[in-house]
Amino acid sequence: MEMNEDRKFGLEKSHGDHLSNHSSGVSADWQFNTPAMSAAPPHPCTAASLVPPLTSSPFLSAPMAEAFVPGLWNHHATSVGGSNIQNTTSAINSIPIGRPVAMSSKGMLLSTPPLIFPPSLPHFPADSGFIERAARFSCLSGGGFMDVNLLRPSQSVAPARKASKVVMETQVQNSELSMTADKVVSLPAAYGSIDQSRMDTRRDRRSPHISNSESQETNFCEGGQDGNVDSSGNSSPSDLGANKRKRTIQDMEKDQVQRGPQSSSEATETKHKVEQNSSKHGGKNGKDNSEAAEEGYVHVRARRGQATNSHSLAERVRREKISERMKYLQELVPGCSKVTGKAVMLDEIINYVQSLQRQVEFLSMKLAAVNPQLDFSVERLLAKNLREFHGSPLSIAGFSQEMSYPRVYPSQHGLGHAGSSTMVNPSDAYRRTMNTQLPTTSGYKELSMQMHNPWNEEIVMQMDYDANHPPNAQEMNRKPDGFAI
Amino acid sequence: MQATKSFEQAFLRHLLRGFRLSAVSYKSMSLQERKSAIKLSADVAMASARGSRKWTRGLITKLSREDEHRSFLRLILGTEYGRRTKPRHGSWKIPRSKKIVRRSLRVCSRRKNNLRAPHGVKSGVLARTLVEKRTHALKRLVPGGESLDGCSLLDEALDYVISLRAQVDLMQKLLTTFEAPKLRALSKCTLPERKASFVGK
Repeated sequence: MEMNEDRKFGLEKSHGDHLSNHSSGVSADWQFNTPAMSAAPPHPCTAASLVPPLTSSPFLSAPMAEAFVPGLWNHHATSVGGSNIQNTTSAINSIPIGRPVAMSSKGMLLSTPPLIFPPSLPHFPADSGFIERAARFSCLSGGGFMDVNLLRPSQSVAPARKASKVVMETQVQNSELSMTADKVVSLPAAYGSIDQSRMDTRRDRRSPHISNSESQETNFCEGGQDGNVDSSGNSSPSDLGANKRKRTIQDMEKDQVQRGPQSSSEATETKHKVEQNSSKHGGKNGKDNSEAAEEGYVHVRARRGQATNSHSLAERVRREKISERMKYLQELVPGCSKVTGKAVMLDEIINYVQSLQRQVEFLSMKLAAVNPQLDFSVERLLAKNLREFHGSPLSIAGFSQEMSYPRVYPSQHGLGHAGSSTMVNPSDAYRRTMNTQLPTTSGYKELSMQMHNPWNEEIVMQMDYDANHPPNAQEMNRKPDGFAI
Repeated sequence: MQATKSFEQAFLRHLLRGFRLSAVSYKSMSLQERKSAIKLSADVAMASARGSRKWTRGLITKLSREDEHRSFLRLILGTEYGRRTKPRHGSWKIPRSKKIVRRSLRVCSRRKNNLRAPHGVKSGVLARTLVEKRTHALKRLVPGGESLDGCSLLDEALDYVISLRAQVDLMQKLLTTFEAPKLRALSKCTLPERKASFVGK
């Protein structure tokens, strides 16, 4: 056995190139052999596509046929080339009768496959070499498929074919998923030109692969690309590509479900593994993206390559809310537009709040120092300022007499009547003088420009004017005239 | 974001009302007392003008903890006082001692850091502790922020910052209003002198 194998291998080496060329040439005829396929290790083919290998294998093996002992034909065929192996072994095993026929002539073999095809299957030559190679293929196609392949070798061809078909699907799926796993999905165009460009570059990089894999997928998913209804109304038009890919994955899932419980279970098994892998390195990107750019979405949609537990979804919603608030605070706090990152932003916010609070304290101290008699001069001063700074007529209709007013009155009356009267006159004097001087004095203009419109009209309009001071009542009556001017 | 005009109006109204109310004992107060009275009325005015928010309620409760303020508050707010200070149905806060909570948090974080230290400081953990520390600091700054989680804390902080800014603005305007005549009063002189002084400037 071993000697035979060695010889076979030796022969293989000599004819390796020829065979590989031949096989590649042949493989071009194969139904689903896209460039990506040839780039990747050749996959085992589907049941439908077993026919061409059957036709091709005799081409390959025919020149060898004379050289080899028929018993060796299996081994040789298995050693030929990646995808040929399982096909050819299955083909070979399915042609117990046809072996002598194949050896004799090619043409005969072409006719035989259809007869032999629905097979009753002899057992596989479950030799170590084959298992080795099968294991190698499974490794090549992606981890986790080993069990699928290794389980089957000793069994009949039909399940093997099915398994190979499943492996094929999942391989395609895996390759496709892994390629697009860490892709940024569904960012609204408004947010993050950075993210958008990132996504675009990734998509461009992946696009040749994707087109290939998608063309592969068309075999598996009917209308995978055509049946893409708009996935969500919120996705921006630039994301349609990404959404399409998502759709195709979903369609693949659907097809797998249709194909049978066995294959679907395997597929879902492998898909879970794939998802875990992709979520591991896709989740991180997703997290970064969600923190970097907020969605304008009302509802939450599981992003591509991210785990879809309720936990992670809720967490993502929470993170998006927080980033939205951070954005508002960034606008609010001066000098925070360039700052990114939660910790630094929080630091800035804390500093700002502290500074504002300290300012309030300081201002209240100053107010206390400025006016020992804070109470009654306020409104008058405000009115004065209002008249000084606004030449426009103001309606006094907004004056509201509050209920606390009568309560205050006696206290004020008792308190500072003398003071108030003294205050009145100078303020009267000031007001009159200021009124007369208003348009002319440069100094006053200076002052007014310094305090350019400190009061909004509407604010001060609502002021209470206490009519405590009878002498002021006249002023109050006069005030409308002053305002009217 | 700007504070609305109605907010500023209400603020000013309440502020002046508070000034008038507190002016009863104004003459006998020292500077410090006056300052605290002014600050009190300013804070109350801000809280009552804003309406009903978490931080306003927290602020009012904090202020009403001192008995001397309570009468003042009751005067200012009137009927709203009872409404504002009673706890809302949904947010019943479990009375916890702050010291104990803080100590336990410190212990927990220390334990966490000790566990992770052998592996080497991961940047994620470091960032998280920084953020946590700052969140705690913010919670202490924003009135009524202790019982809030991260997201609503930021909300309340946002609101609080806006109102604080409006408060500062208003008080500055008040100050200039008071200072302007004071300045002019300082240069106490007759009309022509003042004219000259103004022209001179």
